[in-house]
Formats: sequence, C-alpha cells, structure tokens
Amino acid sequence: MGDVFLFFGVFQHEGRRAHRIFGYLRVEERRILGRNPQPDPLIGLPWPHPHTEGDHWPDNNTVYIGWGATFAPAHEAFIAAPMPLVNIDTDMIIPKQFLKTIKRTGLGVNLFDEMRYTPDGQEIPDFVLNRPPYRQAQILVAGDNFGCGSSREHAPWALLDFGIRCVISTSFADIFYNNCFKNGILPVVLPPEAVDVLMKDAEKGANARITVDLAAQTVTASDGRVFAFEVDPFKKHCLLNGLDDIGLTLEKAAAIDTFETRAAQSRPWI
Amino acid sequence: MTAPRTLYDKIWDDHVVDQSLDGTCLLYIDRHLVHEVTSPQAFEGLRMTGRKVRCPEKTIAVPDHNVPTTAGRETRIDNEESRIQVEALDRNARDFGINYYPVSDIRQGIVHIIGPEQGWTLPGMTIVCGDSHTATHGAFGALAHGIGTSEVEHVLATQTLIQKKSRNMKVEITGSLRPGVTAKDITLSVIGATGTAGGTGHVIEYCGQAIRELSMEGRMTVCNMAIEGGARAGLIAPDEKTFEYVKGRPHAPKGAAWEAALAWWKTLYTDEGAHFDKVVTIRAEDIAPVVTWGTSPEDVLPITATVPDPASFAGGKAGAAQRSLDYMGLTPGQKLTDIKVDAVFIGSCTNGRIEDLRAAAAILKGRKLAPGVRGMVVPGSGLVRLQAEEEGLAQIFVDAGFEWRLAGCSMCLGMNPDQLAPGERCAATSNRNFEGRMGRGGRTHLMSPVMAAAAAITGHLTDVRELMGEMA
Repeated sequence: MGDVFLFFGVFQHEGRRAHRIFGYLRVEERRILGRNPQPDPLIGLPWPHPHTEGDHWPDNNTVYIGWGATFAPAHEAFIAAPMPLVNIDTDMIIPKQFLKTIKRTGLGVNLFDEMRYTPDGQEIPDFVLNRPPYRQAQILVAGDNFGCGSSREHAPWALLDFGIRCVISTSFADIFYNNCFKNGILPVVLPPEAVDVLMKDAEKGANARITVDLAAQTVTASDGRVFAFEVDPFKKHCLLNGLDDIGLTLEKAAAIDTFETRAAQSRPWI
Repeated sequence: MTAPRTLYDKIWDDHVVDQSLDGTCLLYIDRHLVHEVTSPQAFEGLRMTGRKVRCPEKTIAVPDHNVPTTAGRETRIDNEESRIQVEALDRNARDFGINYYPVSDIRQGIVHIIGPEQGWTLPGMTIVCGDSHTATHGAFGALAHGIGTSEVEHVLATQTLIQKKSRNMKVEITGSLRPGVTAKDITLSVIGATGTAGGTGHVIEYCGQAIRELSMEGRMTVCNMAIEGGARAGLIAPDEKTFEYVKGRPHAPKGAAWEAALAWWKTLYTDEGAHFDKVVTIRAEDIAPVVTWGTSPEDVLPITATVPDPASFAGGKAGAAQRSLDYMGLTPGQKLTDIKVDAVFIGSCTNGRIEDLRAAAAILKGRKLAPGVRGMVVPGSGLVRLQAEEEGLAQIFVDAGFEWRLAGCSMCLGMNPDQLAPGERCAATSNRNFEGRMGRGGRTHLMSPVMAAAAAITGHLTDVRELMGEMA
C-alpha cells in the first residue's frame, strides 16, 4: 500500500517513437483475485472490468485501486458532454450522502446522482451522462461558474472516476478549480464565444469530438478552430509531470524552519 | 516608506515562506481546523508516505458534519458510514496527536463556531480547513479559507499551502441597519448584488459603519458567506470588539503575550490609499429583510417582493431560474409572503451562535409554531447550547414547539439524520439553498434567524418587522 505504479507506453508522433509515462497510480487498496479470492471482490467497482467476468482467475491476478492521474494525449479527440446550466454546484456534482467514504475511489457511479437517477435508483434516460455517446465522455462543457459551493474534493474525484479528464467553462469556483489540478483533471477557462462553439460540438455527441492539448494550451473544436487558454505555469508543470506537491514543498523544509523560528520571535503567541 | 497595503496584503506578506519567480507562494498556516468528512483520505495519505503532522499543536479537529444531534450519540451512531468517518477522526486525532474535541466533549460543535469560541482563531492569522465556510474566521481579521483534501494533506505534512495571491475587493456597507435587518441580510444582499461568482479570484474586505456596528457574531455571519459570493475569503479589520471577544478565551494569549499580540493586532487595517481591484458599496438603509427564492444563494429578494419571471433574466441564468422555480415549486408573480413552509431550521455555522439564538428567541417568546410546521433549533456548539439553557432561551424554543437539539451541522447539509423530505419546504438560517442540500427534493429558503422565527409563527415567509410592530 502506498506504492506508486508508473504506466509506460511506446508512442509514435510524427515518425518518432518514444517511451512516455502516461499515468500513475498510488495504491490505496489491493484486491487479490487469485489464490483465496475474497467473496465478490469486485462488487462495488463503478466501472466494467474484465476481471468481473468468469471465475477462473489466474493465481497472481490482483486489482490495485487508488487515485492517480493520466496525461491526456495531445492528439486524440474526445467526446464531450454538454451541460449548459450555469452555477453547477458541488452538491449537484456529488451529493452529500456520498461524502461518507474514507476513500478517493468509487464515486463515479454517483456523479450527478440526483440528476442522473430517480429516487429508487433508476437511470433517468434524458440526463446527458446516461445517453449513449456521453457515457464515454471524457470532457464536460459547462455553463458559467462551474463547481461553486463546498470545498469537497469528492467532486473532482467523482468526475475523474466517471472518466472526465477536462472541464471547459467560462469560469470556475476557486476551490474546485484548485482541486481539479490535484487530481489530474484540467479545468479550461475560455471566453463565452469559444464555449458556445464547443457546447455545439458537445451536443453532436461522438460526431464532433474535441481535442485538448495542455502542453500547447489549446482546445480544438471538431471543425478545426483552435482556442488558446491560459493556465498557471506551475499548475501546468505539475499536471504534465504528475508531480507530488507535498514532496516539492518538503524540499523547502529549511525555508519553513527559518520562517517558524522568525515567527516564534515576532509573534510568539501563535 | 512602503506603498499603502490592504489588510489582506499585510496578512499575506506576514506569511510568505517562499516565493517563486512566477508568483506562486508557499504560505505559512497558523491554524489548521479539521473535520471528519474531508480529512480521512488526507491522514491516509500521510500514513502511506510515512509522513507526520508537522505542527500537531496548531491542528484542531472536531466531528461535526456527520454527527446526529440527538441524545446517545456519544455511544452510538446508527448510520454505519457516518460512524466509520467519526471513528476514523477519533483514531487519526489520537495517532497524530492533534487537538481534539470528541462528540462526548461539551466543547464539541461546528468547527467554525468552536475555533473562535476556544480562542484558536486570532487576528492576523492564516487559518484553513477542508470546508468552504472557513471564511467565517475572517471576522477576526484572519485570512481564512476552505481547501480541498489534497491541500489538507499538504498542510498537515508541511504547515504550508501553495498559493497565488488573490485580488483585493472592498465591500462597504455605509450607514446603519434598520430594525429587523441583520448581518444575514447584509451578506445575502451582497451576494444578490454581485452574484455567486462576483467575488471569484478576490479576497473581500467588508467595511463601513454598518459592519463596525455589528457584533462579532454578526461579523462571523457576514464573512461566513463570502464563499457563496465566490470569494476566496472575507475579512473584517479587528477592533475593540474583536479584542474584547478574544480576551480570556482558553487559547488566547495571556499576560505579556496578550499585550504584545494586542500591539500587533492594532496594525491590522487597510492603509489609507491602498488599492482595491473591485469596490462594491451598499447603503445599509437600502437593505431589507431578505429571503432566497431559488436554488442559488444569489437568488435573493426583499421579503416584500414577488417570485421573479425566469424570462426576466439574461443568458444562461434564465434556464437556471426556470429550473430553480420548478424545483422550488413556485410560480412567477407569487408574493414571497404567500409561500407556506413545512419546517424551520435555526442553526449552522452561519447562524448557530448565541446572539442568533437570542434574536430568534426574542421573536418566539410567548408564541407558538404554526400548526403543522416542524421546527428545529441546533446550537452551534455544546457551550452555546449550555449558555442558551442558562439564559432561558432553550425554554422559549421548547415552549414554542421547537426541538432543542445537540450541536452539529445538522440539516444545513443533511449528512446526518436531520434532513428534509422530498418537497418539504424549509425556512433556514443556513448558507446554501442548492438542490438537495438539506435532503433530496427538499426546498430551502435562506434567511436570518429573526425571519426564520417569524416564518415559524405564521407558517409562511413573513416580514419580521410586522411581528416586531406587534411586540412594540
């Protein structure tokens, strides 16, 4: 537990082949499927998984569950789900009854729960993420002020667990915006005209995919129009390289020590 | 001579540990408040990486969101997931040696109420908590804001936060409030005027005569909802009222340390001529008792108004307003005072302090809940509860037909057994009227404690000034 897995792959771009890290996972939980599997070890996982099919698991078969991030490849277009509503709040994204977990994983099934299911748990067919192309959406295009409300990091955890890697809006609430970067989700702020174009693409489902390139800081609509976006250089660096904030800060431990010594003299009552 | 600085500038400058070339700062955190919902994953992260809490003495934990507000909760929480979260906090507080107020402690309560009550919250501090209503502590002239769980882990491990400075925004409330108008009406009216994204990217400093005239409790109510206006934090410069409130609290400085602290705190004000990026001015005389009609805290109107027509809104807000009215079961043109309520909730980190209970009790004294309306009063802390009982307030609530509960977040976010039923309509002193916030399908109208008390008596949204007329 606590181990970090790095996922490598060979990618080819403009004729050049190179190994690239495309994701990492910090293990929170291990479910052993091989020898002496626990009863129904995969029940409760929100995504379909090949290991849930059949009961003849090889001895070493193990599922590692945890939070991590992958780095969206720059030259692949994704299905975007349209959510034109303004002020989509964190209570909508993940209602409070799902904040009782002590894990980061497994919240995708409850993403937008009260908009997505009837009180008895049936899917509401009209809700965007229940419609066929959008069940595979990796981008959300949303109205103004997305993520307002509480500080719950369960909101980005739920989005990530569903498969959303990028949210595009004209504006985001502050805490939600920060929380996204800590979880490998890219929030993209674009002017209303650009969001309108992308919203129209999103409404066309799988027929109008959107490309997001964090390195180049661009979003490309299905008709080839390119919209540039701003992102804080430090946040971009951390997201592209999957850096651990705490590790980076602990490298500055000497500066923190110095600050504390100075503060102990100037403000001893703290 | 340095350039004039705002209060926010001063607190920020005092806490910068390190600054990168791109302006990203490492900011020192003086107090870290922790509750059971947003912390388990952070402590787990520390365990997985073998890290410790850097400053356990500056870290204060309390369970509040999940805890039932009924008797017997010290020994038994029926909801298994809630119990696991509370037990996880018990264990984490013990294992990491941080300050802790368990459910069984009389000092337990909502984290933003007990911080000031115990003197953990002091002027000029940086204070964070995995909770957006951390802005409450800004009432003391502290820079206080909510953070996510990854940042909770960061603060636990390093006592710092990676931050970029926000912009400065000034909200000035000139003149004096009229009778029946309270701090809650100020803060809701500001959000109504600026919108829920009006403060995004800013730290608000509230100032002006009406703010100076508020008690500390009122100032906490104002700052508490800074987040609903999108601001990172809300601040009010400390003054004699602040120092008076802080003095003698268990964790406030004493003796020579008090004198030194006081001298420092008196430098915490915005310099003449300091620059604000955004300024909003509202006349206190123009603020009426207000209520919310929709499902966003910006959906604010004076109680004398009517339900708006969604078509009257521009852009994407028209659709949101229609959705709100459908959810709230209201029709355009309906008088707000004709809206009947099923429940009344008095409590929360916005309005669960002693002054709030005194104000509500003053309206309720000798009166009864309207037939069919259920009422719940949930003190913000065990000590508020005790004080309200000693002052006879609890008896007034009980005589009026209210349930008198134990301290916690209660209905404000319905993570515990206190919830609205689908379609149930509630006059609430809490801070969010989002869809499903107080229970799936529940309908929330935000208002002040006196307005909630008035609605309790009549059974519909009511202008409290009419009842005050009767009292006079």
